[in-house]
Amino acid sequence: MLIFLILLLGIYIGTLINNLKIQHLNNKIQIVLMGLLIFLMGLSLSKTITDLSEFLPLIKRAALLGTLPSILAVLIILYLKYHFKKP
Amino acid sequence: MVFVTVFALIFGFITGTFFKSNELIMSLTDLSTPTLYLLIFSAGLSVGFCKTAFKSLSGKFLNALIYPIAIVLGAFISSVILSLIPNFLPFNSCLSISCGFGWYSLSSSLVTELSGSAKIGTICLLSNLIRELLAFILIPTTSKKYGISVGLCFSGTTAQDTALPFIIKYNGEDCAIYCLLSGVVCSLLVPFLVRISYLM
Repeated sequence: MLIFLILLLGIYIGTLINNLKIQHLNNKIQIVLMGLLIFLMGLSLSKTITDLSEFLPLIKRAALLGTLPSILAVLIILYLKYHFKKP
Repeated sequence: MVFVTVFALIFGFITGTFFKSNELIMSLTDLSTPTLYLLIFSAGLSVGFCKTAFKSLSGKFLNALIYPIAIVLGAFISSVILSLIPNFLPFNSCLSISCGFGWYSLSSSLVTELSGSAKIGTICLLSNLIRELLAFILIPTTSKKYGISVGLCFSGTTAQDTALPFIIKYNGEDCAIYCLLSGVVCSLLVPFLVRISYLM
């Protein structure tokens, strides 16, 4: 619940801000935060995976989960376009 | 951004292997929750900055809404299919990973927090990274034949920021509003759908 409130608060404050400098600063802060989060994930992963051969099955699963949803979404859109002839 | 992410993951992994103390690692990884809250606030600000998307919502909303609906449907159907594969992942994990819609930093942190497993979090991160990388490869190659469909479906949330210049370059500026609307709707859905789908 807290996470949704923070998101909504961010959106509300974002609509009030018109300063381009703040928008650029926000983009840079976002990159730093993303980098920090993923670094922390790498840290905890190093303690979970002790053998690198465990990493290969993760990549296989990730590849399937990364491609199949998008391919199906494209097929749904193409099907709708074909049937309704509307871009 | 993709390179920053890959570098951060590898750097974190290498740093972790050099640390002998598990307590230090645990106290460092405790920082991920406040960092996640800050990132969500910052992401909310980014969505709020897109005033053009909010202003033209009424005109093209229904047409543009087809893309996020297809993306959500694709995630749901693919999760059903993939969860049927023996020894893959349970349905709720597949769905919450698929509902990241390319927003790898937020979705992977949320999935890690919900599952309590760094492995599932890593699968989420990698799958969404692969999705974004494929978007950058497929936008220039498929835009002529399939229009914005492939670009929007593969880029998901990044259609409003990172992938936007690529989609505009290969499809024209008219499609910018579709990218913004689809990206904003997907971004709004990610925190909700990842949580709800994991609890299913």
